[in-house]
Amino acid sequence: MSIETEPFVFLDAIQHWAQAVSAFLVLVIIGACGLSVLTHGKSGPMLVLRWIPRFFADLFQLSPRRVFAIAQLTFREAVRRKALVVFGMFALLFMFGSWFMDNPNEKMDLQVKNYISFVLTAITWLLLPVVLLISCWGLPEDIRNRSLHTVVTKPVRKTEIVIGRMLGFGSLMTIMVVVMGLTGYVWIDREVAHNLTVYSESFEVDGEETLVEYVDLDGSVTVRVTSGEDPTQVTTAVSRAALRQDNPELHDLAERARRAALKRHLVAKRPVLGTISFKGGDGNPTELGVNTGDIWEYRTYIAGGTQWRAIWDFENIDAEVIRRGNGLRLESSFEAFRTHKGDDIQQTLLLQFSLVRVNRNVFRDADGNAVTASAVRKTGESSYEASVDGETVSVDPVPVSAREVEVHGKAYVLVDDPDVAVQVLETLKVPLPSFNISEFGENITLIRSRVDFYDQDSGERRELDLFQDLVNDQQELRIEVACLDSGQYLGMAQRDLFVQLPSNSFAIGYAKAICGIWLMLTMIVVLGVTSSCFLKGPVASLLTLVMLLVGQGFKSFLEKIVKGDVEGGGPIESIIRIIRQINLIDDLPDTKFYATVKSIDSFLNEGLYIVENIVPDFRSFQMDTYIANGFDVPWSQALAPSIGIALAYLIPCLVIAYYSLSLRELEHK
Amino acid sequence: MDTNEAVSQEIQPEPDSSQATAEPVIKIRNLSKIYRDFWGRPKVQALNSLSLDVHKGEVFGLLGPNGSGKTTTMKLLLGLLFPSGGEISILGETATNVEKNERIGYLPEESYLYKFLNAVETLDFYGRLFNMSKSERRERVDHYIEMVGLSHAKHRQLKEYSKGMTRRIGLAQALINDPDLVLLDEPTTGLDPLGTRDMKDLILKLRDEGKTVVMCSHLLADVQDVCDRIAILYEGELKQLGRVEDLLTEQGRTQLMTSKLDDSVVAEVREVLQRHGATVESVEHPTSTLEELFLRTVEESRERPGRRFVPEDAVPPEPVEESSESE
Repeated sequence: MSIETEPFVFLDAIQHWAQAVSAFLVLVIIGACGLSVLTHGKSGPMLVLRWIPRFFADLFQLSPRRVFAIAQLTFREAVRRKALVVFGMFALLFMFGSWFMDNPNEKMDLQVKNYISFVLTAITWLLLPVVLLISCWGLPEDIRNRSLHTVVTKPVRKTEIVIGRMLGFGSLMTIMVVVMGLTGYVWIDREVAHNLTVYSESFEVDGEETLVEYVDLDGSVTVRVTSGEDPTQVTTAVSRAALRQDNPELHDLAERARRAALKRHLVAKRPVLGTISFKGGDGNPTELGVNTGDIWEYRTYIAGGTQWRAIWDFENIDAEVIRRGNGLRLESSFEAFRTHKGDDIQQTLLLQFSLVRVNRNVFRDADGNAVTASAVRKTGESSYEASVDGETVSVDPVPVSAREVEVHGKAYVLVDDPDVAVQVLETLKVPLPSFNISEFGENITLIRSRVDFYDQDSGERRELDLFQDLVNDQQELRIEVACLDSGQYLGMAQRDLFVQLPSNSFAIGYAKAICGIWLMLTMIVVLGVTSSCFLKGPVASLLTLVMLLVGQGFKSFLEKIVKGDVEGGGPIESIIRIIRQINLIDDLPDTKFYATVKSIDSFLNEGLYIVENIVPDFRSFQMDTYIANGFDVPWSQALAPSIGIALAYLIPCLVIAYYSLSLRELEHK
Repeated sequence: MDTNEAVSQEIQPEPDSSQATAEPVIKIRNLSKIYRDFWGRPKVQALNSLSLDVHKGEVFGLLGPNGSGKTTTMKLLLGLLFPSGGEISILGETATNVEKNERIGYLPEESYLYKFLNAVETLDFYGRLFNMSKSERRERVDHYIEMVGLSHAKHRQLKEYSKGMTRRIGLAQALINDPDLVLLDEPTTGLDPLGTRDMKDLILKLRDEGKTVVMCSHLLADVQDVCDRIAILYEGELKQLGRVEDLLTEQGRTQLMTSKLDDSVVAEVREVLQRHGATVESVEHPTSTLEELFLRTVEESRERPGRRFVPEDAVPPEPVEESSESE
């Protein structure tokens, strides 16, 4: 169970893919017909069209035996080309990598992050060039050596050659990823455990809560044990070994703390994100918080000691989540904007969470037609009426979930019908005890399944069941956040507060991140083999590399250019601006010349639009940041789209590769 | 009219009466191939309006000097090149149809095999491309390795093979599917005379088994030995086509060959011939071919090891003293 802000909608994706691929393939066939006139004369287009039914016939006549024979040959060929030398480099990195990674001054979570990032980055960047080169050079070398002649003169379909090649390189790459992934996991487990230099953990010792803090600086190891209010023991030794020798009991305690710290940091947390909205100083809903002058609009602020509130709506909070988590675990990290300083700067901010049960209703008449909210009047405790076409009819409130509505300006409206308003009723509000939070720290708040609070209305303490009483029928829960320090502002963004599900084991999260690397390399294999079907090795490598660089590093920039979000116009306009030293935001003179320039740029922009849509989004394969920051890789937000992208490219690539091999004279120099 | 056109118009495929009814295994009509540059401009005309038929069960030779278009023809037949004009039918299919390859074996000019595989792996790989089961592959691999005489080196990588050994394993891969039509590009190149003899014997054996063989070669003697029919190409055009005996037989001359005759008998025969108006061009003892001499020598050496040729003026070697132990 998880709530994603941008879920992967499979059917929409399939529809979009089918449209894009059909358009692309039509273009490919038209292009191939044009080219074939040059290479084959008048009979060229007929040859191209004749291969269309053959492609489908070949697909149905695929022989697994032939495909595996080619895959096995490809595998052996790549091994013979010493692709496995990369293991040696990997081993070298791991043997000496830890020399450069010890950093006793950093926080514990940063230390752990360093190790995980190092392993995942090393795997990616060691395998990337190897996989790219072997997949781009395999077929062209075969054609150059004419070894492929002995294969294509056997009853082998072109699709079998392409699939066999992809499978061969893919299986070699898979073995490399698995071996490196496993080695990396063992290395992280051992190295992190051995090299943690700072940790502080609380646990019970002889029935008493005890805090053990451990700092390993160059030349000294300090252990501080605090039981109750004051430190009971402070010990310094020259090294861990010396500590073990001099004070074995304290060493055991430190070891216990280290294991506890590892268990807490080497995890894959599963966050459930909600949607954020605000209530202004007048208590009404508002889209954004207070602007404190920060130009970065990621966070907006609520004013302390006022009616300002940040509101998170969480979906799919079911009984199982609460039961498994023994309550609801909230993790928050906020940024403060202080209007007065002094001693307060070191202090934490006072914060209060309130749990709110929210009911959302739309109104429908007896025939089920939705009625606009302005027409609805309340006539009793739970009875409403509305005037529809001059007639007064009684209407019923129909509960809807938050998913059916979206935040739009100040009002909640139905997605499909913006005229119909939704009644949002906060039927129950439970303020939790206020607490201090530290900025940018991990503030964990555990809300037990039985919530005990002081009811101001009745003037007595009440106990509620979190799931039964506070989560609504649509399994939604609202959490309202207030800053109680007047004069201070607290910055909030959507990801600053989330519900933590019971964490997955680190191994599962790590495996998913490795899976992301595998998917990215699979894409490289698919693109490399495809481009090698119509280009020579060096050019195919260059093309694949360019696609990787554009898809990874320039995709965001490309998207901005295509959407027109980049100041300064298109390529020609920007050149003119540079030459004539015209400021980016100045309007160009209204002349025919500039009008022509703009129209050429808009034409070029269309070309960029096609490029932007053709180049795969390699950013989506990057899952290492999730696990390095201690989070699990979400299935529907990260893994499923990546698998979808890989599959989506496989089919058109197969068609292009098939055509390229079929229409290419293998003997032609 | 151009001379070449006149020739190509004169030469038409003329099958034997027995074969005329059957569909030819290979049917080529007006086949042309123009190599073009990157921009599609014509660079070389490799074949010009070639028409010929190859019939089931014959050994057909394509002859011609370098650049005459014989290898181009072979590659057009295999679909490695696409024709610029004309039609090809091979085993009743178009040249680009993959299914025809089920019944074809191809030995390329040089053995472009995967050199990191050994002989067994190579044949097993090609067997898998024919979708053969494991047991069938094992059986055929053993059979063909034995047939081409590579049993002693079957586990060595091909990169360690000599040129002759590579040709042999190339031939084995061409035959692994027991093809109906075998295309051999320069089959005897790189083979020693023994290997050449074996190759020629094998070609004849394939013909006896009812298979069709098309070969192209520079080595005219080899072609003459095994081919039933030949086509001679020059600069992409067909210049001669027909049965080898028909093309080589000189109808205007007669050759007699008898057992050895005395000079008096020879003079008498000359007199008889002159009386009938014949011109005697030469009377001499016939010579054997170098190939025959070589093969005979090797055969004798195998039967009588230790025998050496000693030149007449050579000093006889000192007799080797036997050791005391042997006494």
